[in-house]
Formats: sequence, C-alpha cells, structure tokens
Amino acid sequence: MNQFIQLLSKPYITIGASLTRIGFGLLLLYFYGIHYAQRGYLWGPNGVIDFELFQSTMIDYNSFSLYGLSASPLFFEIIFHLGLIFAFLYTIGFKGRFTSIVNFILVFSIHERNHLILDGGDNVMRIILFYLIFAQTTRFFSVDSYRRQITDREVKTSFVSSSLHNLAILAAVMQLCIMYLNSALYKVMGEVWQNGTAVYYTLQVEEYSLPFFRNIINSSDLIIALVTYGTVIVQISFPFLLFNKRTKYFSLILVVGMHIGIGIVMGLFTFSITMIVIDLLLISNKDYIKAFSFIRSKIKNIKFSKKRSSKDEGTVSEG
Amino acid sequence: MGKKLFALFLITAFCFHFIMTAIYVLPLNPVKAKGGILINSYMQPLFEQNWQLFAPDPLSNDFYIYLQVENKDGSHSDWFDLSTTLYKENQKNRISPNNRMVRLGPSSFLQTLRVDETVEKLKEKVPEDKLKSIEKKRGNEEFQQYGIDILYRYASSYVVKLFNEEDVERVRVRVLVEEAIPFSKKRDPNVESKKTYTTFDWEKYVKVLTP
Repeated sequence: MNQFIQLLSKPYITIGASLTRIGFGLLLLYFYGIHYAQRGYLWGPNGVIDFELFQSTMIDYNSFSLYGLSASPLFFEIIFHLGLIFAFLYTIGFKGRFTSIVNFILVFSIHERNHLILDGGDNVMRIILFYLIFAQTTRFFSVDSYRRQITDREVKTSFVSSSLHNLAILAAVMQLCIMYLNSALYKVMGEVWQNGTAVYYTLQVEEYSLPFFRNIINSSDLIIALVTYGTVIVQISFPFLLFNKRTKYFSLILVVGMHIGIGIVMGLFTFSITMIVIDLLLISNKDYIKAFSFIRSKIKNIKFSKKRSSKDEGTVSEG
Repeated sequence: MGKKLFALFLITAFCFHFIMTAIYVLPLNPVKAKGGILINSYMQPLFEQNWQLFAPDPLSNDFYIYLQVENKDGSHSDWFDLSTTLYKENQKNRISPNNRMVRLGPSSFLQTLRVDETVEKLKEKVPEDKLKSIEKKRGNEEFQQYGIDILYRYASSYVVKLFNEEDVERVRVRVLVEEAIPFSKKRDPNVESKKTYTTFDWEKYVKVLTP
C-alpha cells in the first residue's frame, strides 16, 4: 500500500497530457470554425432540429444542454461564441482547471444540440475531455506554465492533485482499450468481418469513401481480406500490447497507421486525428524528452550544414 | 492515513466506473439484462458511448434524399435530389463543412428506422401486448418520430434555394436506399444494386434556415 501511495504521489505523463490538451483544443476550434457560417442552421433555434422537440428530448433523456435554455437567437449566439472562446483558452492552456470544466460543459452542450453530425471520434473526445478535467494539462506549452516561469513559482503538486492526475490519465487509457476491444468484439460477430469482405462493403458508401481508393482496393481480393482481418487484429491486440514498452510502440505504429488509412480513404479525418491525439497520452515524459532532444539535434545539424554549404558556395563564387 | 483513505476511494470509484462502462458497451448479456436500468442511469448522458464502429454489419447503403413541393395552386414540382451534389463535393474536398453536413440526411433517416435492442431481443419471448407496453416505455417510437421531423426540416431547408418560397404550401420527402452490390457479384456487369424507395406524406411547409 505504501508503495502504491508513493506511485500516486508523482504525476506521470504530464507532457502527453499537455499535448493532448492542445490537440483537442485545435480540433474543437476547427469544429466551431469550419461550421461558423452554418452555425444557426446546425445548432440554432431556427435550424435543422426544431427547438421545442429538442427541449422535450432533453427532458426524456435526462440530458442537459446550454443551447436548450432559451429559444432566443441572441442567446444562441452568446453560447456558441463562448464555446469558441473557451476552446481557444483551452488550447493555449489559460487557467487550466476552470477552463477545462467550462469547455467541457460547452462541448457537451453543442454535441447534445445536434447528434446527427457526430461520430465515434466526438464521442470518445467528449468522454476523455471529462477525465482530463482531473488531470494536470497545463504543465507544459501553456500560458499557465509561462506565467509560472516568469513569476518563478514552484509547481506545487499535492498528493490529491497528482493522484487525481494519474488516475485521469489511466482512465483515458482504459477508455481507449475498452473502445478498441469492444469495437473488435462487435466486428468478430459480423458475417462480413468473418469472411473477410467487410472493407469492400464499407468502401461502397458514397457518403465517405473516395472512388479513387475504392477502385484500387477493390481490384484485389487479397487487399480486401488483409485489410479486413488486419483491422480486427490491430484492434483486439491493442490493450495487450500496451503492457510491454517495446510492444507498446509497435501497437502505436499499427493503430496510428490504421487511423491514417481511415482518415484518407474514408474521409473521416477528424475522427482519425482525434484518435491519434489520444494516443499521445500513451508516451512517457522520458520518451518525449528523448524524442525532443533528438529532433533538436537534427535541426541543429541541418542548420549547421546549411551554414557550411552556404559558406562553401560563397568561396566557390569568389574563386 | 488520509492519503490511504483518499487513494482507496479513488481506486474504488475508478473500478466501479469501468465495470459499469464495460457492461454498458457489451452486447446484451445476463448481467446487462438484470441491471440495465441502473447501468443506463449511471452512464447516460455523461458517459454515453457506442463502439459498434462499422460492426457487426458495416453500413454499406447509399442514402439519397429527395424533395418535392406542392404549390399553393395545387401543382407539384419535380423530385429534387439533395444528396448527390453533397457527396460529390465531400469527395472533392474533405476540409469543408460538407464533411460533417453530409451526415444530416442519412442520420435522420436512420433515426426513423431505429430498432430498440432490448425490444428486439424480447420479441419471441414476450406476448405482443406486453411487448407494446415495453416499447412505449422505452420511447423508441417517439425517437423515430423525432427523426422524421428532422428529415422534413432538413429537406425544407432547401426550399428557399430551389423554389419560389412564397408559392410553397406543402413538402414531402422521399428516400432512396441503394444497397451495395454483393461482393460475390462485384465483377458481374449485369448486376445492378438493389433500390428501395420510401416516400413520406405531405406536410405543411415550415421555414427553416438555409444551409
């Protein structure tokens, strides 16, 4: 038990948590921004979903949305723009905990207002945004951390704060495992996933798939079967490969590859980016620092060699 | 001591939450059947989730939404295809509002057909009148009706763009479902995909913002 308490006292994966915060923030800014011109149509009181009907379903489902509080178009504009502002504050990491709570409420509200345009990526992001309320997400790359630096204050981490942080990160990872395992389980139950043709069927849908890739993949039965079974295997193995450090990175490469494929071929790119952003929570601070210093030295090398080559050129032209 | 208690509390809450989540997302099983209401009231709406992504049977149908209007003089317009341009534009450029808006039509139509998992499982085991009352309690019919309402509003939002709005009295919606050609017949040039049309009744035109 004492060992366990010790383990909880030090916050882990704080760099990953900060990166995920930025990733989610940017995705939310994109969500609000790309639909800015259609905001009234998608979420407003005179839009595609009738306001009164929406209100009554909120009551039926014991749910809640700030957008359901008033039918006034002005009120709608205020809530929408608050959503936009808090997504921005969340991204830059200003007033960590307070902003993450308000941002979560605003995201939850806009999701509830129109469920038709959402996908699994929005679903998992919303849940993990909730878990991350309890995490320390502004330790790095944030206004909060910058302000701490200039006032030279020590980062104080109480036992409560750090244990909450660790369990929040663990919860996000658990959620990811449940998602992949469950998704794989349902796939194994399906006939076309069993006989290796599921990818053919998903690619037939005009709503998302691209004719260009459809034709390439459909031209070979081997590719269809490989991609179909491969997807199931990647998803089912994910939680088990996390236990070991080496297999963890192997699994990360597989799932990131899978999501890049889904993003490009099926055009569900915000879903894919969301999943990749969550995967940032799986990498330890030590590995991030290693990666950063590796990148830094590479950049230095490039700069150095550029300088040298420009000098060389100089001497040549002089000669 | 305080630390230990707090840690214990956190771990208990954590385990409870994920046991609930695991049961909630699994297919219907004895535990879920018994504790369903309790589990749902804990999970919804905050932790609502569904991971049947493209499974067990991936959606392989194309949905095309058509709109027809009746003018005040009683004349009917042609059927207007609202979906094809949207799909084409989404394929051309993913970084656009269409990437999500393309889901409005199909999602609202699918909502009109939503099947309640629990009611479906009970179909053979429970007498019909009891089944009806269970179905009513679960509110599935209202949810379907909600989908129909959205479908009409979705189609009506195009009236300003396509017709002379002042003349429009009533609207109706037709949905074409085009099933994918079965894998075994994908190289047969004579096979055409199966098409099903659903036509909804005439409804009074209600003004909705244009997309």
